[in-house]
Amino acid sequence: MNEPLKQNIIGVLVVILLVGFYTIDNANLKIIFGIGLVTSLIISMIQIQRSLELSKSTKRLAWLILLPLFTIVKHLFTLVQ
Amino acid sequence: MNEFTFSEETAKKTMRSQAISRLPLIFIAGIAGIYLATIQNEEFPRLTLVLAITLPILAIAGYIGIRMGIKSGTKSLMKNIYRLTGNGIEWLTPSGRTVIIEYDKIDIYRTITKGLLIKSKNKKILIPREIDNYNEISGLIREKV
Repeated sequence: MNEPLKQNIIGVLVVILLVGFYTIDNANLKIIFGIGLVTSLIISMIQIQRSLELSKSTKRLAWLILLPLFTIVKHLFTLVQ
Repeated sequence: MNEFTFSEETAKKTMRSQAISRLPLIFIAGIAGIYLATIQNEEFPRLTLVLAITLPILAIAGYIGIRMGIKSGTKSLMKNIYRLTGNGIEWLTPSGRTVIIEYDKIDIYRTITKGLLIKSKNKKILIPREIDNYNEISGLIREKV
């Protein structure tokens, strides 16, 4: 599979997780989708920070991923409680 | 010592094709964002008006964002420098670090879709296919290895 297609498929899967997380009523499914989202955001964060191909400014900008990450984690905590 | 880089034209062309290949994802993510915003504001009385204002703003922001991404990506690509020295291959990365693989420490070198992949025990360098004079650099590496 070529690289852009792979990236697009992974991206669409993450979008599906995001939409599912905010629209599904079933709490268990919501938690599964949320864990999937958090995992994907953490993996992308690590990959960006470890990448040699990205400039320092891009890496600094990528810390903004923490904002949605914290929001989703907070949402997940509320659901679990 | 031979040095290989991306010229501005090649870097721009590469970034443009990367941006085009990501357009479907940007489009899908945009639709998902609008959908999420809409379902959370179902009782908003002027939803159509809000969408009529939001959609053009989103389209303009998306266009500007892609243009800026291509510009910064072009600059970043141009910071990649591949050097062939007497001892090995040096890659000066956009992040400021330098990766050096000596010729006698190369374990694997093979041509993949993205270019020429060179691996030692704990380092790897990918010579992108889009780089200027790709055939020359890959030929020189093959000769030395």
